[in-house]
This record gives sequence, structure tokens and C-alpha cells, in this order.
Amino acid sequence: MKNFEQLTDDLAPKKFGLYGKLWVGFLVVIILGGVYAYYQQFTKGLAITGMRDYALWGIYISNFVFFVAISLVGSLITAILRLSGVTWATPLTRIAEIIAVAAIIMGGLTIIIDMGRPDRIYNLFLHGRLQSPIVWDVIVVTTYLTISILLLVFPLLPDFHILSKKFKNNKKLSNIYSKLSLNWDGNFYQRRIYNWSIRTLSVLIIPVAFAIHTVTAWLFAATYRPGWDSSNFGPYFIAGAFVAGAGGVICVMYLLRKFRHLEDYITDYHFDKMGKLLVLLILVYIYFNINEYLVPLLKNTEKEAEHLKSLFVGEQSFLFWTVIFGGLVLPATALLFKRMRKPFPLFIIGLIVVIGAWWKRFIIVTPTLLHPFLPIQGVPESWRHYTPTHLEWLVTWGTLAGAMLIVTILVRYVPVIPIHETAEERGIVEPRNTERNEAK
Amino acid sequence: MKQNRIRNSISQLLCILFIVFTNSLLQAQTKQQKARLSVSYYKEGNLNLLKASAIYKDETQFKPAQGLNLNAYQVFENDSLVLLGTMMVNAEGTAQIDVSKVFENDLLQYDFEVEHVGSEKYKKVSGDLSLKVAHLASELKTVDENYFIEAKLTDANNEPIPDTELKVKLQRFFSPLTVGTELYFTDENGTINVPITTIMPGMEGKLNYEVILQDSDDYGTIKSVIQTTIGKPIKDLSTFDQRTMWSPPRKAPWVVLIVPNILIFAVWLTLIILVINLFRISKHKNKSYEKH
Repeated sequence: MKNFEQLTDDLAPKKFGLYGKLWVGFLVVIILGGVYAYYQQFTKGLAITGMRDYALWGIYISNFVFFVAISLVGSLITAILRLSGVTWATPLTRIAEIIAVAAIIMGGLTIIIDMGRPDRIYNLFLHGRLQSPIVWDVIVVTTYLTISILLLVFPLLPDFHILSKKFKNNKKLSNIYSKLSLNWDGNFYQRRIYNWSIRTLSVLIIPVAFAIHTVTAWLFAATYRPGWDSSNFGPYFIAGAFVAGAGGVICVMYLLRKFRHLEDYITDYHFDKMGKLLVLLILVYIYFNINEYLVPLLKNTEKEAEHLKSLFVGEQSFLFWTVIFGGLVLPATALLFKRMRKPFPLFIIGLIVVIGAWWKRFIIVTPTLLHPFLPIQGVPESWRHYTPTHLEWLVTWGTLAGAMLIVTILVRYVPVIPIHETAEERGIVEPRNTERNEAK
Repeated sequence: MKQNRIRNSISQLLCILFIVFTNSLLQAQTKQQKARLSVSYYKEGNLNLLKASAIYKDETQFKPAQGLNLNAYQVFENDSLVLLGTMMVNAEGTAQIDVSKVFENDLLQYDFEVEHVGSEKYKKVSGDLSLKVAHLASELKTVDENYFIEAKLTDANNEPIPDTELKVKLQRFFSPLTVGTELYFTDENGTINVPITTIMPGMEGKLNYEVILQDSDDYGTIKSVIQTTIGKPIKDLSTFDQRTMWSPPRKAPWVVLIVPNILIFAVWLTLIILVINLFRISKHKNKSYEKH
């Protein structure tokens, strides 16, 4: 069994090696490309995108929904599993919280990117209607971001304290961690406040997390359009969000385990558990998908039929079936086999699920807009279709790289596995506590 | 010698080309459009409008002479002019000026002139209008529960004007509906009687009929409107004054204002307490040893 020093050595943040630096450089280049493309959009307007009168929401909104979906994993692993007494998820909580914070920051930013005139955003606050899901979305995204940050920060306090002591030879770093730990020394009062705060946050984040994705779903469902006109949209979105988030956590935990050599902490057992959890989540999501597509198919109203035809056999069919089978059915089937829940196969499956989740948002958002109830008339032929422009892709890749850069920076400077909680769970006593006990 | 002659010829040709080019350029810059101006008169109730319509021919088609400044004059018997005011032609090619005060003079005939004095874009143009005074009175009559519209057209001496075309219409939201036939001719008493065979629905039963003498050479356009309440009442389904989900922010339903605000307040109060907890943790350093 490892002692506290070994545990801290294993879990403390480490400087990036060559691959890490190359990775950061790669992300920065993509982000700069995104900034350049956004500058073009800011100066020339949304005309540089493929969005027009009908396809007025494109990959930006798909991307926004994806980010919100991914961010929900913070509530799943940190709150739901924690409150359910699931202890195997402890090494994954920090990863989930980091992903949640990164995703929700970029989600909020994506909404602003989608605005033609972001300089007029103040009008939302001056003239926003509390009856509108768009205003609810702004409120709930801000609230969820705050809760996610707090849920990341609180459990970090003991870890920062541990790190400040670990890096005592590096005075500057030690001071920074010491300041970040907010004078934490684990005394009775601090622990009482700490425990109450984490419990409160764990409870609070669940309704807010459900609210954020339900409200995002209502942005669509409250609009009377084929494909969106569903009372099922809230749970449908939440189920999909958990799938995307779990896939994201699997990918990040695999990469961290590999590059940070965390095999003793993120074990095959964790991958097996996450694989099983992912199967369950995908099956629930498939159930909601059947509801979403089968009921309108049975009703077969003219416009719904037109929309479904474009998905099943028309313009979007390749993408649709690839996402349904490639992104959901095949991963769920594969994960039923134990050997597919081993780290590397699961990583590949997680990656496929995440990519599938992104495209799933795309086929939820765009095809509906191209099948309005009132016929499309008197517009150029190109307006009947939506193809994102290169600049649009560049901006989108920029935001995705932005989220990954936030994750990377946090991974560099904070312990990706909670040191304090892991020590407690493994019954490893902190040296200072030992000294204290001896003194007593 | 020969080379010199050729050089001179070329320079002369270039000079001529330069002069022709610059001249045509200057001409193009100062080329004025010739606008076509027509003047008409419109009367409804106590409102008397002098209207002008101005267009000009582009290379291919007629276009509104937008921005054309017009002076409106009243012309008296001795050809003296009194400026009534100025008006500017809009994007639709029309302009109008209220001349109601002019008609307080009780003359039998009025003469007007509208003139554009010339500008960079348009040449000088003018139009005139000679107008006799007429009055159009209309009312709704009921005979054996049947409705009729009776209208009477008279001149300045209150003499009836016979054999004149009048139109009767029902005002609707987008455009008026013709009542009965397209045209009615006044009889020797200057009157028309138009039966209303179909009662249309109207907001609270309100139906406005209009009798129109349209584009008469002598009298211009005169409209008389009758406001009635004989229509089939339509229940007002407007929710304009109610608090609804589709109202502006200040008319949001109370439940939407109260419940979300309570939730937002409760959640953010908790978050503020949690942020304060961070400060409390920071303040409680080394207080535990006595407690332990």
C-alpha cells in the first residue's frame, strides 16, 4: 500500500513533456484560427456563415447544445453518483468537474458567437422577456457555471493545501497553492463548512443541471416546428447529455491515465464500471430516440413526414443512420462484451460516442429548420440547404479547442484525482495529522 | 517632316478626344431629368389635400421623382400667386399638402399651381389644377329593417349634380370592399340609393361605409364616410391588455414573474452563502486544535 508521500507524488500536477507542449501548441493554433474567423464574422456579419433566412441556427447552436450536454457530466458523476454512495467514481469526480467547467464556459461563449451583433447583448437584459426560454437559458447557464466552478473549487482546497506543502522547495509555487487553499488546514470548523458546502452543492447542482438542459431543449420544443414539437424533448436532451458527458469522461480518463501514468488510481475496474454506465445511458437514450422518431412517424402529418423522410432516406440520411447506429447502437452492443470495456477499446468507443453526440445535435437542429410549416418560397436555391462555411468550421473548431485548452490547463495545475479524498478512502493518513495525533 | 506631321495629327486627335470625353463627362454629371408632374385634389370631411404625383423616365422605365421639391400656389383671377407651402416627393413619387384653410374663402372655383423651380437633378416643371367646389353628403337609412346608403352630391350653390359616377365601398382591414355594383350614377336630385344586401361582421358591429367621387375632372376626389354599428359583432379576442406568455416584459403573467424569481433568488442566495463559506474557511485557520 502506498504511503501519503507516494500518493502525493503520483497525483500532484506535473510539468508537460514534449507531447503535452505540442498538444498545447496545437490547441493554441486552432484557437487562433478560430479567433481570426470570428474577427471576419464580427466585421462582416453572419453573412460569412452558411446560415440564411431558414437555416438560421447552424453548427454554432449544435455546438452550444453539445457543450451544454457535455457539461452535464459534472452533475452525473460528482453529484448523482456521490449522493448515491458510489465510491468507485471518486477518482473521476475531478475529471468530470473540469470537463463541466470547460464545457459550460465555451457553451456560454458559443451563444455570443452565434449572435450577429454581440455588441447589442445588453438589450437582452434591458428588454428580455421572463416568459422566453432564451432568457431562462441565460440565467440557468450562468447559474450552472457558478455552481460548477464552486464544485470544482471546494474539493480542491485540501488538495491545494497538500500541494503547497509538497512544493515547499519551490517557494513561488508553494505560495500560490497556499493562497489558493484559502488557509486550509483541515480543522474542525473548516471541515464542517467544507462538508456542508459540498453536500449543498451536490444537491443544488442536480436540479440546476436538469434545468439547464431542459431549458435548452425548450428553446426548440417551445417552437412549433416539425421534429421539435415534442413534450418529450427535455428528458430526451438530458438522456443524450449524460451519454455525451460519460463518453467525454471516458476519453479524458484514458488519456490522463496513459500520459500521467495513473494506472494505480484509474484502473480497469473504473473503465469497466464506466463502460457499464455508458451502456445503461445509451440504452435510455435509444429509448427516447425511438419515442422521438416513431410517434411522429405513426402520426405522419405532412410536414413531419417530409422532415422524417429527409432524415431516414433523404439528404440527411447518411448522417442520421451513422449517428444512430455508429454513435449509439453499435457502441451499446459492443460494450455488452467485457473485453470492450477494457481501457483502450472503451476509449475508442467513448471517442465515437462523443463525435456521434456532436453530430446528433447537428441533425436535431438543422434539418428541422429546412422544413418549415410555411413553404420556402422566393429565395435562392442555396437557401434551401445548409452547408457550414470554412470560417464557420474554424470558429467551431476554435471553441472546441478552447474547451480542450481549459481542460489541459486545469490538468496541468490541479490534481486530476482528488488527493485528499483518495487518501481518506484508502485510509492513508496525512503526515501532519499523524504528528498532531502523536502530540496529543 | 512626315514624322512631324503624323505626330501633330496624333496630338490633334488626342486633344479632340480629350475635349469630347471631358465634355460628355461634364454633361453626364449635370444632366437634369425631366419630371412629369400631375396635380389632383382630395377631400374627406374637413380635410382638403392638394396632391402631386411626379415621375421621370430613366433609360428603361419610369421612376418616382423622389426628393423633388414642389411649391404649391393658389392662383387668383389676376394671375397673382399666393404661396400655400412646399412639399417633397416621397419614395412612392407622391407629395401632398393640406389646403383646408384655402377653402374657408367660400369661392365657387379654386385654381392651384404646383411648381418645381429646377434643381441639379430635375428641370423646372409645373402643373396646375382648376377645381369647382362640390359637397358629398351620405347617410345610412333604414326602411323595413333594410339598410340603404343615401348619398347626395351638390355644388357650391347647393344645387344637385346629376349623372355623376359615385362608388360605394365598405372599409376593411386590407382594402375596401365594393358594395353592390362598381359604379352608381346620381339622379336629377344628385342622389344615389344603394341597398346593403349583405351585413358583414365588424368589431363590436362597427362598419364604415364610404361614398367616393373619384378623380372627377371638375371636382377632384371627394370621399364621405358613414360610421355605422349595423355589422355582425365580432368578439374582441385580443389579449393586448392581458398578462400573457406572449406579452412584452412588463405584462408577463404574475406566476412567471413570481415563481422563477423566487427560484433564482433561492439558488443565488445559496450560492452567495457558499462563496461566503470560502471566506469563512479562510478565516478559520488553526482554530480546531482546542476543539479536537
